[in-house]
Amino acid sequence: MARTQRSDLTLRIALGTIGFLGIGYGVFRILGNQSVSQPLKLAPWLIGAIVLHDFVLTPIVLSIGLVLTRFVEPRARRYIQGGLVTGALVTAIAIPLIYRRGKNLPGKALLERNYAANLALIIAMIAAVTAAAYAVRVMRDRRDQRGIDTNVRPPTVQTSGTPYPNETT
Amino acid sequence: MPSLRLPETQPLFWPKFSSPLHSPAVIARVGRVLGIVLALCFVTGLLSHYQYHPWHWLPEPASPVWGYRLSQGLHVMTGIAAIPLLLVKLWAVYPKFFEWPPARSVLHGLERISIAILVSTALLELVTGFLNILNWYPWPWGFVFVHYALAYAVMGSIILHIAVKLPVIREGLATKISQNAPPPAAGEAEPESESETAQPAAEQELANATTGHGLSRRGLLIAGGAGVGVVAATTLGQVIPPLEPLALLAPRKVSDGPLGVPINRTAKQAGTTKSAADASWRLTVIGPNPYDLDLAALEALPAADRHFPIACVEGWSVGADWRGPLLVDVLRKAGVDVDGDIRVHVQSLEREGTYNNSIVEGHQLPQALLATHLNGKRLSMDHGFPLRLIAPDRAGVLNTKWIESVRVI
Repeated sequence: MARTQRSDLTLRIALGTIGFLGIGYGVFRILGNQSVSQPLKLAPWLIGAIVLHDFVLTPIVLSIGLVLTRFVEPRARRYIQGGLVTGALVTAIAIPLIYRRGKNLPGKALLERNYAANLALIIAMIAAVTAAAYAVRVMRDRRDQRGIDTNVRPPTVQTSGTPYPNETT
Repeated sequence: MPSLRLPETQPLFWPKFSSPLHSPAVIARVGRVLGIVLALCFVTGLLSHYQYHPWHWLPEPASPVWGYRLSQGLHVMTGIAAIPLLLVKLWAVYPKFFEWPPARSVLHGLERISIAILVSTALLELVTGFLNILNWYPWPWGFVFVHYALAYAVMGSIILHIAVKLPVIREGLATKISQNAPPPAAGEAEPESESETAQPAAEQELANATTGHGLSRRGLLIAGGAGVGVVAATTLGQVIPPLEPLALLAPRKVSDGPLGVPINRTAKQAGTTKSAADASWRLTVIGPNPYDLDLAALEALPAADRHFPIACVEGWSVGADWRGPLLVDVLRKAGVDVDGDIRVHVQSLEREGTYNNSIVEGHQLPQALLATHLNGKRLSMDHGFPLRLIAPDRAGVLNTKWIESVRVI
C-alpha cells in the first residue's frame, strides 16, 4: 500500500510537471505572436466560455431537472431524463449547422442538408426509443408484481404453521 | 500580509446539489473516455500540423496513401465527439464550482485556477474547432495559430488535472456504477447482505444510485453514451462515404461536390478565374534547362492513373481517380536529376493566400501527378483547371491548384 502510494506520488509529480509545461507552452505561443493570436480579444472569449457554460447553459439544464423532479413520477422521470440527455447532446451539435446552413458557395458541398428536419427526425427516433423502453419497463413491473402476488403467498402459508386467521375460519 | 477571512459556513443562498449523479463513479468514467478521446484528438492534431510544417530531414511519407485521410478524419471525429462528452463531464462536476470555502489553501486555489484554464480552453478549442469545419470564423484571431497553441493548454491542463485527481479517479473507477459508498476494503464483508429479505441487494443498490428513483448513474452513462454515439454516427459519413445516407448532421455532403469531390477554395475565391482560363497558359518548368509547355503538350506526355484521396484538414475526405503526367517526368525534361535529394516548389496562379504554393519532396515526389483529369473528366475550373498537383498521404490544400510553375529548389 505504501509503495503504491509512493510510486503514485512520483507519477503525479511527473504528470503535474508535464501538464504545467504544456499550459506554459500554450501561453508562451499565444503571447509570442500577438498580432495573430490577439490575446486581448481572445481573453474575453475564454472567460465568456466559462460564463456561458457555468452561468447560462448549466443553470438552464439544472432547472429543467428540477421541474422534472418536482412534477413527474420517478419511473417515468428516469426515461424522460435519459431521452432529454441524449436529445440535448445531439441538439448542441445541430444548432450551429442549422444556423449556418446555406451560407456557403455551392461547389463546397458544405452545409447543404436540411439539418432542422434531420434533427427533428433524430429527436423523434430518440423519443420513440425512450417511449418503447418505458413501455417495456411498465410491462415488466406489472409482470413482476403479478409474480410476487402468485409466488410469495404459498410458502408463507405453509412455513408459518399458523394460517391466516381469515383462512382458518 | 492581511489574510482574507471567509465565513466557515457557506452563504445562505448557496446552491446545493442532491443528485447522486454528481459522483466520482460517474465523473471518473466519463472523464476516462473524454481523456482518451482528447488525447487521440491532440495526437492526430499534431500529425496534421506536421503535414504543413515538416522537417526537411523527415518528409511526410507517401504511404499509406490514406494516412492523412485516417488521421485527420480521426482528429475531426474525436473533436466532434468530445463536445457532448465534455458537456456531460462538466455537468457532472458542476457542484465543485460551488465548493466552500472557494480555496482551502494556496495550493487548492492554484488547482482551481488550473481547472478554470482547463474548462475555458477546452470549451473554446472544441467549439471554435467545430465552427472552423463549418467555415465560420466569428472571431478576430488567426484560427490555425490559436487552435494549435490552445491545444497545448488544453492537454497540459488535463494532464495536470489527472495528476491532482489521481486518487479520486482511482476511487471513482473502483466504485461500482450502481453503488453509493466507496467499495469496502478487501476482506470486509459486503454490508447488509443476506440478512435483508425485505429488499433484495440489487434493488437496494438501485435505490441508492438513483435520484429519488430518477435517472440512475448507469442510466446517465447510457443516455450520454447514446448522445455521443448518435452524433458520431450521423457525422461519420463525410469521412466514410458508404455511411453517407446516415450522415444527417455531417457538415459536408461529399457526393454533392462537382465531379464527386467537394471544393474548398473556388477559382473565384482564389482570383484565378481569368488567368486559369487564358488560352495562352503555359506551365513553366524551372531546372538546369528550363522550358515551358502548353496543355496540349502536357497531355501528349505519357499519362499515369492514380487513385488518391482528397483529405481535407476540415475532416471530410473522398477517394478519386486522377490522370496526368508524373511530376518527375516533366522535371526530367528540364535536366533535373529526379533520383537525387530534391525538393520541388509548386506555384499556383493564385496571387495571394497561404496555400498558393507547396513543396513536394521525399517519397511523395515520385508518386506526385500533375493532374489534368479527375474521375474521368477534365478538371473543372474550381478543381484547378488546367493543372493541379495530387500526391498521396497529403493534406488536401497542399495539392496546389491552377499550377503556373514547378521549380526545383
